[in-house]
Amino acid sequence: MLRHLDIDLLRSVILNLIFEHATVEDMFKKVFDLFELPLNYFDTSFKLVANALPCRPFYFDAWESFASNGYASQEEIDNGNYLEYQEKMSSLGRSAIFDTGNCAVYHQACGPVKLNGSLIGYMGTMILDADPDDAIEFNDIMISAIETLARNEHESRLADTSSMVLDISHFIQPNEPSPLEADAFKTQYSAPYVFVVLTAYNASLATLKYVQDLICRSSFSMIGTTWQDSYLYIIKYNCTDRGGKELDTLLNDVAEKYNLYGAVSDMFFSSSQINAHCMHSMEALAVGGLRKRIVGFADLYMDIICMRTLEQHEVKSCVQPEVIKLLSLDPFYCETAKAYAESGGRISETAAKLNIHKNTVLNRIGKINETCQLDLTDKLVAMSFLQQLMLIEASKHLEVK
Amino acid sequence: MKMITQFQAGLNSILLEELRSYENAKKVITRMSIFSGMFIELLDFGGYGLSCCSEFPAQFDESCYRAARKLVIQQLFSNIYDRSQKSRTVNGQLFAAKLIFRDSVPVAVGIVVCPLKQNADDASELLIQLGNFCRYIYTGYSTENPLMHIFPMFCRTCFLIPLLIYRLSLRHCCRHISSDHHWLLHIFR
Repeated sequence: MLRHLDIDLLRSVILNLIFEHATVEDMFKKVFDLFELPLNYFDTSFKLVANALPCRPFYFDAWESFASNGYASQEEIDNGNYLEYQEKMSSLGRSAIFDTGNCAVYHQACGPVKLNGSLIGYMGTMILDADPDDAIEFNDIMISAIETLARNEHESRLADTSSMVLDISHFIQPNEPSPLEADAFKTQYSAPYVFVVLTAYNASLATLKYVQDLICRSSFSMIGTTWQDSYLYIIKYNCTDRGGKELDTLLNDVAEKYNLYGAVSDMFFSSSQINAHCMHSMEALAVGGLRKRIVGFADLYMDIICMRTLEQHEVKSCVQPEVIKLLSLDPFYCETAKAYAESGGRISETAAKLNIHKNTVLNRIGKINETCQLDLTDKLVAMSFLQQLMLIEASKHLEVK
Repeated sequence: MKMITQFQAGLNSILLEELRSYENAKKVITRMSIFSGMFIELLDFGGYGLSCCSEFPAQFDESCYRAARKLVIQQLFSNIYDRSQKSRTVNGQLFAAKLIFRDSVPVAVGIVVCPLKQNADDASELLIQLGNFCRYIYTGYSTENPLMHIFPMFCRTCFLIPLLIYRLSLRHCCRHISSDHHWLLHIFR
């Protein structure tokens, strides 16, 4: 016989607790006393925020681990497919019954907790003998109460100007920060900075939130926020090691493990440049995101210019007839021309690069000049030739996409 | 445990929803009014700008309402330590009002008007929740609001300070301040 839950009573109790500005922990205690259903609420990094359990050790291992450690370990998260469950919760947007895998024996009503539309955690109610539909509604009301309490806490923090700057999404907006905001940012997060964007093409918000915590926890000089539920923005501050490998290694490891792609901006020195560098990273991600897990804006600078050029002009209108003629010749002429232009017109370097004799290089360059009227010994002509080659390659890449 | 009436359950549900995505008092009052079928007015003199009212009912004469409001406020302020609800019947309508306190300081007045045949308990419940709502929003604001420091210092002996603040903040014109406490009626004219 399934137990019906008195939802009106729950609403009344919850409302009074909200009016009293109770904590989530107090609310759980009171609700558990009335309904005797175990409750568990943890944030997106799988840290326990509040729980109410009838006994310890609790019979459901996953919740017992939260209770005893205060969090779920990385091993538990990976082996227990926690992120899969959280992805499901986050995509459903409201509570649902979880009764497979880890929850096969201990059925739960679980759902995502959001603050101003942004995912902040997950709330679960053990169903036990309760009617499953009632349990879903019960869990949704609990979530609504947590969100109201979290909103209050968030707003009090925003009222405090010293912590306002912790919300970096404010600095990602196109509006330039006021001098006061810029100063506050600089005080808390010292320059220089690097902007990082990470994304999963299957838009897995729960994973991005988890990775945000993972990255920011592993380094003391990183702050992050998710954007439009699809991107994770990270600012690495006090970034003295941009030339080093530490950041790249960390990002590549995380990207590989959680199937993410990302881009890193150039180094910058002011909070007023955050928006511009965010755009740079997004451009780099759009242009080079499929080539490597993590790409750098500086490495893709020319590609980005090519892409933007091709968005406005057809490739034909960007390539000289002389170059088109060269491309129609045997491919080794183009190969030689490219290597020659890239080596700054140095014959021996070109020959070594192509593994041919210096005279062969000279002959080919002479032949190109004679047949196509393309004098590659002129440095400006050589540079222009290289740019046109890049445009052609970029257009092929666009076609493939 | 006290039985929860259908009216209380509905009101609780609306308040939970509204607090979750709170925008302003007007929106909350309007939803409460639509749900209850009652006219609701909130007069906030605590300095938080919550004053607002729901849509005025067509069947109710506005000048008559103002006159009744004046009387009920007079009644409320005759003894500010009496926190009970004051009610009167005006043109077949139940007119109920209550002082709303924060930290023992009166900061607002809640007024509810509904047809007599409607359950008076519902009106009382609405006034209680109106008070809870106000206190909740006030607590959301910091107690650093300077008004909250000034008010307790002066209000118990003389309402001069809150009146002046009310006048300054709302640019409300008051003709005179009489020696007794009935001058408070002027601010609600």
